[in-house]
Amino acid sequence: MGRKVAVIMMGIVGVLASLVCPALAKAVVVAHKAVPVDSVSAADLRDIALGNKKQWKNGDLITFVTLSSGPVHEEFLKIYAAKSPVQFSSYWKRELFSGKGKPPRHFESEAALVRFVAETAGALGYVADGTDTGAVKVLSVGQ
Amino acid sequence: MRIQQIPHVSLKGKLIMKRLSARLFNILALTVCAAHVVTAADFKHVDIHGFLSQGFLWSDRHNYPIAGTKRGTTQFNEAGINFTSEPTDKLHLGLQLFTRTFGSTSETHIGLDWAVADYRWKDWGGLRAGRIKRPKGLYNESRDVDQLRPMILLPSSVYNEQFRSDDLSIDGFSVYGTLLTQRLGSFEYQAMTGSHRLSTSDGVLASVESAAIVTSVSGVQEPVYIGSLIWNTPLRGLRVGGTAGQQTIDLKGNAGPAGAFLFGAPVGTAVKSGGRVGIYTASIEYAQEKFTLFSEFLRQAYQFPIGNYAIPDAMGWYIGASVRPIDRVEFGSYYSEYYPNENDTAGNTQIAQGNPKYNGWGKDTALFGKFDINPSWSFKVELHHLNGTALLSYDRSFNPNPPQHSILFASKLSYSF
Repeated sequence: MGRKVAVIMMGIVGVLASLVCPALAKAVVVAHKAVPVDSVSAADLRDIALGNKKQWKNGDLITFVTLSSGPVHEEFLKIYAAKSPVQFSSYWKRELFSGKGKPPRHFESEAALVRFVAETAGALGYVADGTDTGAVKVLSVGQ
Repeated sequence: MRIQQIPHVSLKGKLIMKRLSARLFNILALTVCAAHVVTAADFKHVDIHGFLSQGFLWSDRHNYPIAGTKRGTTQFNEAGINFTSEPTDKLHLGLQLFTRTFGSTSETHIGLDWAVADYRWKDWGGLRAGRIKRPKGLYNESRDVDQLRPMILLPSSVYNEQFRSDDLSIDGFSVYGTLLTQRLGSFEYQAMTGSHRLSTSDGVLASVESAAIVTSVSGVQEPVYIGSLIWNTPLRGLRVGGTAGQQTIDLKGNAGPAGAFLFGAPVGTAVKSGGRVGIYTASIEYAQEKFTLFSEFLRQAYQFPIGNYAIPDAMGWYIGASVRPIDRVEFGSYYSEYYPNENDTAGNTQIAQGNPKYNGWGKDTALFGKFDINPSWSFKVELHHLNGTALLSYDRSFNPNPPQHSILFASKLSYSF
């Protein structure tokens, strides 16, 4: 009984996973101009997004912020956190309701996010390619 | 016949809903009052969040997981509210109040779920003090909040609802952190110690009392030592973890009719029992945007005799998968096996105790579906096929001569903010 159930489950997962092919938008990682790095790795971004990395290498607090929704938000979470927006929200609710953390602040627009990052020491977020990023530092992303 | 029983429950359900409504109203009133107090005091950096859920359970043959399930019951809900603040970059303060109805074995008051002062001085090191949620497998720390998982009932082989309150938290200290690496992923660790006063309304105390082994029972887990390690592997979405816990338990009370033989003492005599219980889990989860695979294993090792009865070591495991074809819909299945005596998975020793063989296992095949109505509301439905009676309450007045197989239906509506 158990083996049959397992085989059926794996089959369902495989078929549905193969149907998934979302369109991607381009996300640019931005940070406060005084952060002590010019690039971050994909692993760093995952750890920052999930609250495991909270400090820059000089010990300053990383204030991670997100967009509220949209294709750039979806792309960033998919690539770096391996989560959908709903999964990401659930992850942070889990941290919140078990007393282990507080969800990142989120913004409705790229302009509002850039303004916050420009004004907040240690802040890091992401915006769509083409957004005015003159007030912040654009970080390259390595592997 | 079964359908005829449901109207009978509906009448009782109205009374239950009245009581439930009063309790939920208390929580909501508390929320509103708290919000006003916070505003009045101008504590701009205190965040308030909460959740509540209401469920329904129905079974064709077993009163499982709670009494009244065979008739259909709505005595299945929880609500909580938390307050958090970060006075400095490294200090996090918070507490959560919680109440729950889970049949007759439930917390009947609003209690302190957790309350922590959390100082994290580095990514790799932090300290928590207070009432801290207890890690056990991957999902124990968040099991209060129904909305955070796709299924209603977590697999009972690892997350046994009968002993839920025994495993939830400890009062003590925890050292924790995340070791970050570029090539090997990250390692989340926790080490904690403390104590836990056992609830008499559910868990092990309610079990020995309802089985008439010990009456007027009280007990404490002290000391408790727990270690947890989760490896977020370089393969994106794959995490592997393990927890190990060791706790010393002291029980005292009066020998009940069933305990008189075990303790070799007349009914009503003051008796004590103590020992150690080790709880070990191994977990694996592979989560991608559209699907999740998960599996866990549990072993409970007892050095905890009750009178002249040595509790056997128990084990359980499960495997499951869920898919999310669109963002608001998730469905899946799991299969779970639990054995109260790991050396007797065929149930042979049950015969000598006057039980059917199938009392030696609890196997559960579940199908579940979750629908996120919006980011705050969700609705879930679930169907279980249960084989074996090892997971039923020790109080057999709920289930006299239970049959081997049963079907369980569950649904739940949840809200969080």
